[in-house]
Amino acid sequence: MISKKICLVGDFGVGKTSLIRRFVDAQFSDQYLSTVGVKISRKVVEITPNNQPEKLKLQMLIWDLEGSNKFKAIAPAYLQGARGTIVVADVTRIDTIDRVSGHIYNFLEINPQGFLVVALNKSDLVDEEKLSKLLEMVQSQAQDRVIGIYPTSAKTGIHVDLIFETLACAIIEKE
Amino acid sequence: MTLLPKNSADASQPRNSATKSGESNSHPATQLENLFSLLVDLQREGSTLTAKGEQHQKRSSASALALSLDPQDDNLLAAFESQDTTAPVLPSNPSPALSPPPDPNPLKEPVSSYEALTSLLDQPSLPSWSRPPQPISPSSQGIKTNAEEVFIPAEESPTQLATSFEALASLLEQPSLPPLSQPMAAAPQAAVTDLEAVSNLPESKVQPVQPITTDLEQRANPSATAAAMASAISPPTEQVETSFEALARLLGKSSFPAISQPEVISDKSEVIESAVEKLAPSPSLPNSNAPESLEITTAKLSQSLELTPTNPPEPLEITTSNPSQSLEITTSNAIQSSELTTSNPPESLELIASPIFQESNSSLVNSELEEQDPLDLLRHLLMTPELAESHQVILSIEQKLQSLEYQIYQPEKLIKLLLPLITDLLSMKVAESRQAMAESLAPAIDEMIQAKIQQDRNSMSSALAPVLSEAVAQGVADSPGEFAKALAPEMGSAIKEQINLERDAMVDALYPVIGSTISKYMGEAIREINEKVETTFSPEGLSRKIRSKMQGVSEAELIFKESMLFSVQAVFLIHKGSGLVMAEAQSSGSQRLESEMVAGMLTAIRSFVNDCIAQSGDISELDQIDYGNSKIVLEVAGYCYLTVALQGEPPQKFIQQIRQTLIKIVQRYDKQVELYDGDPDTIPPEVTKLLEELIITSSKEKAKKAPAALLVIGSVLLGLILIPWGIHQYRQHHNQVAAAKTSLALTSEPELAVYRLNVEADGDKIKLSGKLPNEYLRSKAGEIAQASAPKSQVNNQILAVDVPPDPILTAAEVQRVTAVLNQLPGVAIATSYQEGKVRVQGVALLVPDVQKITSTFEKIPGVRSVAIAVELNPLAASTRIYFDPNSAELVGEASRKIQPIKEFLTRYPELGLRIVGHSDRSGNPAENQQLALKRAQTIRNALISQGITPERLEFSGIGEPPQDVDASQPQYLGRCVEFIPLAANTRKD
Repeated sequence: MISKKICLVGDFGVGKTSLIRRFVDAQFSDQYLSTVGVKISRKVVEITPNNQPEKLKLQMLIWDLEGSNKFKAIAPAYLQGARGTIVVADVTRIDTIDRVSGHIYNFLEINPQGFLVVALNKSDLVDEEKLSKLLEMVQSQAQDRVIGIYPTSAKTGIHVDLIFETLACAIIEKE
Repeated sequence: MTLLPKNSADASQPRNSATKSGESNSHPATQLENLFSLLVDLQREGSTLTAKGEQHQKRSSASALALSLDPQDDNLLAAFESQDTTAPVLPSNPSPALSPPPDPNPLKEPVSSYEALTSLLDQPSLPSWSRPPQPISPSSQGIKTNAEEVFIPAEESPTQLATSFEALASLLEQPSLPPLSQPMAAAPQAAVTDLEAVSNLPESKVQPVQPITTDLEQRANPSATAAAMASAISPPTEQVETSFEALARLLGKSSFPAISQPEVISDKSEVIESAVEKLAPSPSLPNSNAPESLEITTAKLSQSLELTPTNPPEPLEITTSNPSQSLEITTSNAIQSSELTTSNPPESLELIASPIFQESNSSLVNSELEEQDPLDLLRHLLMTPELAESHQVILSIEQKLQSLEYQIYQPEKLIKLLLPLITDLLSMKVAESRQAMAESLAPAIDEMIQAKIQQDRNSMSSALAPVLSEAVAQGVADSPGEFAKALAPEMGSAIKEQINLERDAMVDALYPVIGSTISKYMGEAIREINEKVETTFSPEGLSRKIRSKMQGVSEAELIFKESMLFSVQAVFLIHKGSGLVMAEAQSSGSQRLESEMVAGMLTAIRSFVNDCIAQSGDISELDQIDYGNSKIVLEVAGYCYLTVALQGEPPQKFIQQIRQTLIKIVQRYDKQVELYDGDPDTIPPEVTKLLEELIITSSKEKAKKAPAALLVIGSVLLGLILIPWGIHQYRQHHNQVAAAKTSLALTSEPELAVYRLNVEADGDKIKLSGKLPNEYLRSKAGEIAQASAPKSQVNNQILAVDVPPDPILTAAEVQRVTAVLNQLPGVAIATSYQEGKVRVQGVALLVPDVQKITSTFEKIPGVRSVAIAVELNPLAASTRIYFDPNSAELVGEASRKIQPIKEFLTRYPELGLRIVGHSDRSGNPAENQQLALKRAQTIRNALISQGITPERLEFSGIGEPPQDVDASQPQYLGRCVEFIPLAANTRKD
């Protein structure tokens, strides 16, 4: 079984751990627990890549990295060897969206062949109109290694599995 | 002539004023006296004063000199000898130089003036005087001495005068013209008022001076200033002729030197000395001037009166009034300036100078007012500035001197004065001669520091603090070891103190050292143990020795291995970058680890340590993670690392093996490892095999050990325990048999059968112990034992002892004997037996009874002593109660005898009493019997009525007298009752 390392990056409190929890354990809690250092989770996903007829099993080793802020960057060593990254932002905090491009840049600097998905988390807290505006805003920052931008919600579960699976597909297909 | 006294005063006066400021107070008085005498002279000789006056004036000047010298003689010579060396220089040639008497009218005596001047100029002792060119006009000589520019004709037009004064003004230097305007304005006003005042003066032209001088005299008394004023004011009564020379003198001597040498004075270090030296001559001026100019003035006055009868008073008025006015001004100015002098000499000199100009200018104004009389005007003009100047200078100098002296004698002031100079002085001195300065200061420097420390510890500490660390560093560098020696005794307590203050800091500080120290120590300790073990010939040691020789490792390592068993749980080959597991091998027995998670976390930890903890540029790797008894060993290569999770302490050999394994993997499969992308299939299965080998070797090493060593050790231990035990068992059995045999033989002997005897057999020795009542039985027991075991050596330890009789039996015997003894008549005893001692208490009738009691008790076995407290019967002889014939009643005395009997019974409550009644031999025996019984009954009843219980009393009657009463004795002795004590048990029986 193939294993792949992916990372979740983003400012503190945007919901990285919650997204992983939703994806791996199908659970949600609105308690805030700050991640210290790294937490590693694992989930096996079954995907059917476009260029292959049969299903593939992929073990995703998901590195939930400590939330960063403008004073404290992510340790580059944690990003090493990651095939893909999910950059998470909080739609209720515009500054976290502003720093999405910074996270993308950081990741690609270390892993130029990696793939990214941008998750605009907590999308259940804002209306559609604002959401589409924000999507446009992020779109403008995105690069060609960014394979998708999705509004997500760990609370409702919307698009959560999708972002992981999309990323997994991209990683497998492009090889 | 005018100059003569001045010069003589020059020699003496400075010393005076320098010696003691107080003396300046006494001076004016003498001066005034002097003046008066002069005035008297003048009055007398004024009218006839002509060319002859020369001689006369010499005389008066001589007297003036005498007077002025007078007060100084006492104290000057002693006080200022140094000045005496210079002093004689001036008076040495004053007479030829200064004696030429200027005529009151300079026009008349130009030649003499000229001579005076030239001689004055030639005088070598006045170097500050500029040498003038040959005078054009004889009359101009006075001023010429000061400056060439000044040319004052004696009798010229006012305009010429004006120009000449302008020149004078310029000569006196330009600096402080602005301040002149004020006094100039004030002067004329004052002049007017003074003029009015003086106009009232008596018109008698003979004595115009007197009122003023008296007036001045009054003023002179209070103070030195006033005195100076008086002496200065007195000249105004004189006339102009002297003024040329006086001015010249003043300008030259006092004000000029002062002005021309500000640099000298400004040199602060010399200020006091120079001031004293240079300014001292000035105060003499008024003294010396006064008499001279007075004379001259008087002479001139009379002359002028004669010459100009039309307007005689006016010049007088002006001359008298103006100077006084100007004096007042200058005095105040001078005081001010002298006050300033202390702080800033050059400034004060300027200030002194300015009043001089004021005066000269004011006199200029005056001179313009008095144009009509050029001569008078000239006189007036010349005199006024001169006076003003001289006076002012004098005053200022006096002030200065006073203040200087005051400063010298007042420590505070002196300190203030010197304060600004001290630093300069010191720095100059240091710059000049560093070494000398250091040497001179060196002896006191420690005391200075100590004193300072005592004064203010904190400031000293803060002053020294900045350099302390550097000083220590320097000290350590200069003389290594010394500092350590000095600090060493305090080191222990310093560390203790620090630990008290902050334990954690100390721990942190020592932590890096302690680990390595301990490991070093441990290494040494283990080496030591190893050495000891190597020299010990225990079976374990030997076997280990053999093994270590065979395996080629040290015994210590073997010991370590033996104590620390280890087992490998899992081996992972992890991709360094992504933390993905490339290959793994896990021990079958233990719980399986989640390889991906472990690998991920280990990678994260490695990254964290490398990023955050390891120093930048320091290539160090996390090589081990310990947790309790388990650890994870990490061996890192380029793109991968090998982790081995194990329990216990892995031997070095195993660590080497891990390294070898990683080296093999990296060498053979480096490409696959580098390009690993999450697919374990890309990694060849050989890698996994290599990892599995690690686990197998570890379990093999474990398996090898146990059997041989354990077996050997076990059997040896078992042997060590069993063999002695067997021997012991055998010997014990043998002994037991022998002992039993002997015991049987002993018990077979009837004599010994009742006694308990112990028999112990130990090999060929038999030990007998126990107790037998006598030596015979003891030896018999020994013989029997020997007979039963003829080969053995008998150790007879039986004790022959006296067997004490049974105390219970003895007590019973004592009771029995007591009962027997109580059968004896009159014997009533009670006994107690305790530990071989018999106590006997009671009564007996006779002494032999007591002896019998004692011997009887002593015969009882077990009784060691008898304590007898037997009372011989008190009732036996004494107590018989007698009755009347044929009566059984107590009568009279007989009834009293009951009392002692009652007391007896009360005393011996354990005893009873037999009451025996008797009768005499007369009468019927049956009746006697009845009577005797009745008598006994009567007594009994009497005793019962006394409170004695009836049980204790027995009674009987015998119809005849007691045995000791025979027929020969009187009948009444038979009619009685006798008493026999009874023991308690006897009673019961």
